[in-house]
Amino acid sequence: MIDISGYNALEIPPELEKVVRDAIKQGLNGLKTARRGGRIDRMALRTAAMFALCCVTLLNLSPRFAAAAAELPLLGPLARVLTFREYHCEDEIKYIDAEIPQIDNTGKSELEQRVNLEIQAIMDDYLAQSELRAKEYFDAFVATGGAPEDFIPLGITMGYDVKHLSEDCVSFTVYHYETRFSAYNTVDYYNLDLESGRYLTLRDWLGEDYREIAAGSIKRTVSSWSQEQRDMLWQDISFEELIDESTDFYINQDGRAVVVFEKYQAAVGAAGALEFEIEPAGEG
Amino acid sequence: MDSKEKIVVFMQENYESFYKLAYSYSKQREDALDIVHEAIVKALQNADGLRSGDNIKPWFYRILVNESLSLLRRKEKTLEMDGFEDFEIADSSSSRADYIDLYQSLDGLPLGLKTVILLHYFEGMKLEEIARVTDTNINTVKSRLHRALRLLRVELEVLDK
Repeated sequence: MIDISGYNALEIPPELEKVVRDAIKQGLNGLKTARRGGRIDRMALRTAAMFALCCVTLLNLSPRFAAAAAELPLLGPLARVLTFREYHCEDEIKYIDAEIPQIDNTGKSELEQRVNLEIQAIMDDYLAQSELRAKEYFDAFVATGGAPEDFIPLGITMGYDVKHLSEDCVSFTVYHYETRFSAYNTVDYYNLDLESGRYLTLRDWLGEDYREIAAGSIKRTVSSWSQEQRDMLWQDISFEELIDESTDFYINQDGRAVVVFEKYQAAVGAAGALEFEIEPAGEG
Repeated sequence: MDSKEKIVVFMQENYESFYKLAYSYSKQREDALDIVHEAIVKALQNADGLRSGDNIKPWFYRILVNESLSLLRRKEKTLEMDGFEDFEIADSSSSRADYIDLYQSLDGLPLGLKTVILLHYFEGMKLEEIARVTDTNINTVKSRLHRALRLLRVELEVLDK
């Protein structure tokens, strides 16, 4: 008789689920850093950073290059509206690799300045918190007898994903990941109306009835789920209550709003963050 | 669903098993988490290697087992594949010859044999699937299973069940 109870009883660490989710994200997005434990593929990083740095320097220094890049199919709209600033820093306790997005060439310098300053302030704040955590962790490591040279630096990655870009609006996310403290990972959503310079809310995108439209569409999506998937949702969940003008969303390539509920907001942790593409009114 | 989506679903449904398997090699929680992380990233980055008709489990477990073994190698803990001399049965005091806590006893086994036992009894994989995971043929898997069971003093009839 084979007894496998010892195996089945192995304790599963609570952070496993998060590790898996990060790994899936990393595997799908091809993110170049954020390996667990700060074991960073430095060579690959440097190459990527060098290329990116060249690109940014050129964009920043030469309006002519930006104009020329705007005509290249690949770099085109990105180089025109969203550029980024690079920031790298490496010491014994941390390794930072950041691409901080900047709005550019919209023809509205006031808008650019306002948005860029705000993004910069948010990123600076995240960065300061990460550095503080790295320092605390390093101090605790040394205080408990660890040799400073054995400390694995905390990896901090910041960057952005462009979700939608048209002449009228830009939708992008800005993320901040730490290799060791996944609880501090964040994603912020930005949807900018380039005409008015305002941040868009779900009301702007879906109209006055945005709550009913969004909640209705989410419920239809949920009803197509398996029972097992539905069981992951909090039992007393009300999507209407979760939808308001501050709800996170982005605009996808098809121009549809995608509502995002953070981990734990709508479902058990194992489900992770949930995304729902919203059908516009009249299609449901 | 494209192959990446299938892989992601498989991972979401089975990640606790990945961890148990990784832990069975590394015996260390942080290392096991690292193994799981690396295996998932590698699998998704090499999703092209999975052809449409392929079964995901042996394909992914091959990556997972390789990650586990390479971490052990990095840590220089590797036991020689054929070094049976130091092997001792963990629970030799047991009077029940037909009962053994297999899991406790596995740690003394050479890695090649341990892999076969883990995948067959704990992960429920067929011998031909194990051959794909370990990049060997089915006869090698069978012979490793026999050797492992002999070492574990499990009656060979178990094989036929």
